[in-house]
Order: sequence, then C-alpha cells, then structure tokens
Amino acid sequence: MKKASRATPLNRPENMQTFEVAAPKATHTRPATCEEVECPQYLRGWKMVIDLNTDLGRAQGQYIKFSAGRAYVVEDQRDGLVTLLFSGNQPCFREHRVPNDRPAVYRVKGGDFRGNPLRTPTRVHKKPEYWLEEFQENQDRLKTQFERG
Amino acid sequence: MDDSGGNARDIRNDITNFEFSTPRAVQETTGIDKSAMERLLLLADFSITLNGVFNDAAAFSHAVLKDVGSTSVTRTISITVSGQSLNNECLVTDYQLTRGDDGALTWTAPAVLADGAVPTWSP
Repeated sequence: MKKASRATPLNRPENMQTFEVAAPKATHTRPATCEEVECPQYLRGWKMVIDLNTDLGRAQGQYIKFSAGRAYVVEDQRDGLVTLLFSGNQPCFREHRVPNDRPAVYRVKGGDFRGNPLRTPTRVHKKPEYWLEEFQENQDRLKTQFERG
Repeated sequence: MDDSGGNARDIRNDITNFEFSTPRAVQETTGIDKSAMERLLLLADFSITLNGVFNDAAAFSHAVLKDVGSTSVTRTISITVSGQSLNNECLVTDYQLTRGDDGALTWTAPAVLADGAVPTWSP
C-alpha cells in the first residue's frame, strides 16, 4: 500500500512521542439500522444496476428476486444490464455502524509514524484525564522552552 | 475540523483513531550552545494523523477532506478531552482512501502545523 504523503518532521523519531486516542470500529461501534443513521437510500429509495453477464450480477439477481425481501420495480433491461428501482422505507444493502458507548483508548507511544527507534513501551491511560495531564505537561514544557529561546 | 471553505464540521463519528506526534519535552535546562539552539528551533514540530471510515454524507469526513489535494488552505483541527481543547492550524497533506481485504473503505489524513506555534491545551 502506498504511504500517505506527509511533511517530513525536522526532529528525529527518537525525539518524538505520540499521544493517541483510538476507538476501533470492531470494538467501538455497533450495527445500526438505516432509520437510525437516516441513510439516504432508506429515506428516498435507490437505483441499482446489476450485470447478469457476470457471476456476481447473477448472484445479486437471485438474491434480490428470491431472498432479499425488498420491494422493487424493473426500470430497464438491455444487454444483460438490469436497472432496478427500490422504494424508500426499506433497509438498503449496506451495513451501518454507529459508535457504541464504550470509552476510547488513550495511549502514549514512543516515536511517531516513522517508528519507535528507542522501543519505548506503549502506555495506556486508565482515564482520559491522566492522558490529558501528561499531554498538557509535555506541551507546557515545550512552550516554556520555545519562549525562552 | 474545517472544510476548505473554513466551516467547522464535526467528524468525530467517522474517526477511528487520531494521533498527535510531538517532541518529547526534556526537563533539564541546557546551556544555549549550538545544539541546544537547534533543538529549540525544532520544538514546534508537531504532526497529526487522523484515521477514519469513509462517509460521504453531507458535512462529514469525505465532504471535508475530498479537496485536500486541490486546495492549500489552512484548516483548524480541534479536539476536546475532559473539558480541555487543543486547537491546531494545520495543513492536511493527504487524504488517502484504502479498501481493506474485508471490503471496508477507510482513510488516512496526515496534517502538520501551519503556524509554528507550540499547540497547548486550554479550557
């Protein structure tokens, strides 16, 4: 995978540390209905084109016709391309997720996105307040040193 | 986070993690020799990495970040934790979308400070 474009920091990674707040999708979200997230397909209906010349299209067609339970009309059909119109007020085919109530994880790591050359162990703060306090103290010290020149 | 028009948008729900990389502040007082001066000049080095899930709803992450590559405006990135806020004037350097093996579409947006001031938390 291509790396994201970044400005190269002037400091070396061993002089850096990273304060992170994480709420991974797998653990910090729950499935949600279309109604809950006000999904546009649910609100206004949607159009879908399936290609019956492909295995995927045929499988989609079978599923929509016999199993999906969604109301639709065939708008157009030519050269194996079928356009279906689904009315609103029925669940779309996407999976929606919304944040659950689990608190985020607050970590302090060594180094930065380039790595952690000193292999500083990652610490997880039990409370956001402690993470904030450490972050605040670090930034205040930096500011003092910066202003002192 | 600001969109390219300078309008603040709340994109918290799209973000799975964010990181602030900042120089380690040393406690000791160093004499003002050459290396100390150099180190002081680097103190404002500060970068942010935002990671999230693709959301093309109006005023959410895709709407805010989609023109990162075509605009060069400074954006305010703000976070609030326990009543304290950290506001940063940043240049977002990329908006990289990735489709994972599980089909999930996620993004990464790195940013760097635009104004050189040390970001500090304030009530």
